[in-house]
Amino acid sequence: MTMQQTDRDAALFQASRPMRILRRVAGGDGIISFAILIAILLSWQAAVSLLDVPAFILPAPTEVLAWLIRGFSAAPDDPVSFWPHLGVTLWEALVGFVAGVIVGVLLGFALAHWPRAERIFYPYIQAFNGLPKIAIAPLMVVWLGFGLEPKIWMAAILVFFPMMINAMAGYHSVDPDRIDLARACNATRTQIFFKIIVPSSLPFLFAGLHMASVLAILGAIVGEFVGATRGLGMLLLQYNNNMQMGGVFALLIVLGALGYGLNLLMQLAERKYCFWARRSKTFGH
Amino acid sequence: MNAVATPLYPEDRTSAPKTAAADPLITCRSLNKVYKTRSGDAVDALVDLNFDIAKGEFISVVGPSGCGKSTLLKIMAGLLDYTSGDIAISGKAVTGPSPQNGLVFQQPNLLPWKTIAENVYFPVEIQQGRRAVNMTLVRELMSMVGLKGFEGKYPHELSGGMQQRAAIVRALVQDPAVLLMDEPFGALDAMTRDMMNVELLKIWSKHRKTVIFITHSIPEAVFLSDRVIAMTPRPGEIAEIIPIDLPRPRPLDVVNTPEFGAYAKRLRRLLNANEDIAG
Repeated sequence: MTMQQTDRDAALFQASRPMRILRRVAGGDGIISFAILIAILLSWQAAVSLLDVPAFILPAPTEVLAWLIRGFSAAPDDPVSFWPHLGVTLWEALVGFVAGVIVGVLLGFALAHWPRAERIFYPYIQAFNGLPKIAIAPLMVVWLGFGLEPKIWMAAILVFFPMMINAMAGYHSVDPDRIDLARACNATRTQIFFKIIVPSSLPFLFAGLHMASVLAILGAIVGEFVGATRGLGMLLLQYNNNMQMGGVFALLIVLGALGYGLNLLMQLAERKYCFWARRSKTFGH
Repeated sequence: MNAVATPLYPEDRTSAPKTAAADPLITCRSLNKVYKTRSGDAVDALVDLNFDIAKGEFISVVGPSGCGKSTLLKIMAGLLDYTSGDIAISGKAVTGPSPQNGLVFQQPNLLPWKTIAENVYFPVEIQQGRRAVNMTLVRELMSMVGLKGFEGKYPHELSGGMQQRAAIVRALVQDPAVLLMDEPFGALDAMTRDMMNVELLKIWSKHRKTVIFITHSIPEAVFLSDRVIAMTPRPGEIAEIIPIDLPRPRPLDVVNTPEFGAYAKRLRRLLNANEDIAG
């Protein structure tokens, strides 16, 4: 009876989780947020048409919407279509993200594990982290050309630092009692690493992943700004040079949605794999 | 179960006319621990500890904070090296962690990403792999401490007392000979603490483990123990080993008896006297 009860509770808990997220986003204060958006759009539209603002300075929301619809409904081989560019930018960001996360986490754990290495390399890491990494983008083009590589490298470099620093912080934050618990069970070093240190570091790794998801897109876009033949960043720059502000705004919205979507993905992953860490915190942060 | 450790101090001999243990489970001879500080100074943490513990005995170690009682426990658990002397459990010198010890920490120290059942069988999982886990035993142990039905819950869904109970059965899951407990109830409120003490005695009398119980609470030590090792602060030396001759099973009201009061008073005097010397 009690077992059945707990099973059913567990099932309810499982089923209600996505529903709760939806309700938090849409319900309650979400309505107010949505109302504010509508108000901004309306006053924007009114201001543009009443004050006769030229379209090359501020396009009307309806024009931006038209650009968006055209960009997404045109055939992929049509030059106004966003799709091929979206695909290129997403690919660059994704590959850079994965590479930066893997290298950053591995190196972060390694440095934290060998304090001597950390002492030797940390000044360099800090110095390089202090550098505005976007400034390397032109160099990347010189070294790697106009293809996808410099964009992937930019994304990877931007992603690398928060991941490495968070992996180090995560490693150092592990409660020594947890290590003692595993040691008392005769755990091997590998077991201590995978069964205690990695899961204990997850909250830190997810903090890094939230940052990294946005930085990956930033890296790809910056790489495209410097020199590219395809990609949303290249397209944005092109519209900007042509004074096609409707297109610029439409692409900004696409990029914003992309970043938001990736961040949401990270949040969902965190909820699934790290649900035990942020119990008391509210949705989002 | 009439075997009791060899009295090492004359006071013991007069106050506790018990027979010496022919074959003690734990022997500790001239045990010393010296810490090296960062500046290179040597700090004596434990000085010349000598005691024997018989199989099935409940021993408490009391002393002010910083007297090295947790250091002693970590040495017994094989988690910390000692500087000189000998310590052996079941005739084998302690050289590292061993499954014959079950360890309970000051905090429940449950892994928050594992369910309660997963936490309880964690030592088995580490040593023998997940396939070796005997779920029937895990369920049995859990229901023994009133955690039936909480197998699939996560630690944050349980109260502090329940978490510590899970930590105790985790220490028992490999059927260790010795249960090493480092102020396990220090973080609990007084009511829960009393309840846990009673429950611990129940578990102890049922499973007949040898228990080494670190605490800074004098009443807790007297209530639980067969003998209490009183330690002096910095450096940690044994001030006296006091046998507690209170009948068992001990109900909670034993704390109101004059005998209990006498023991508590004697321990308090002992600890205060040494505190004065140290201070």
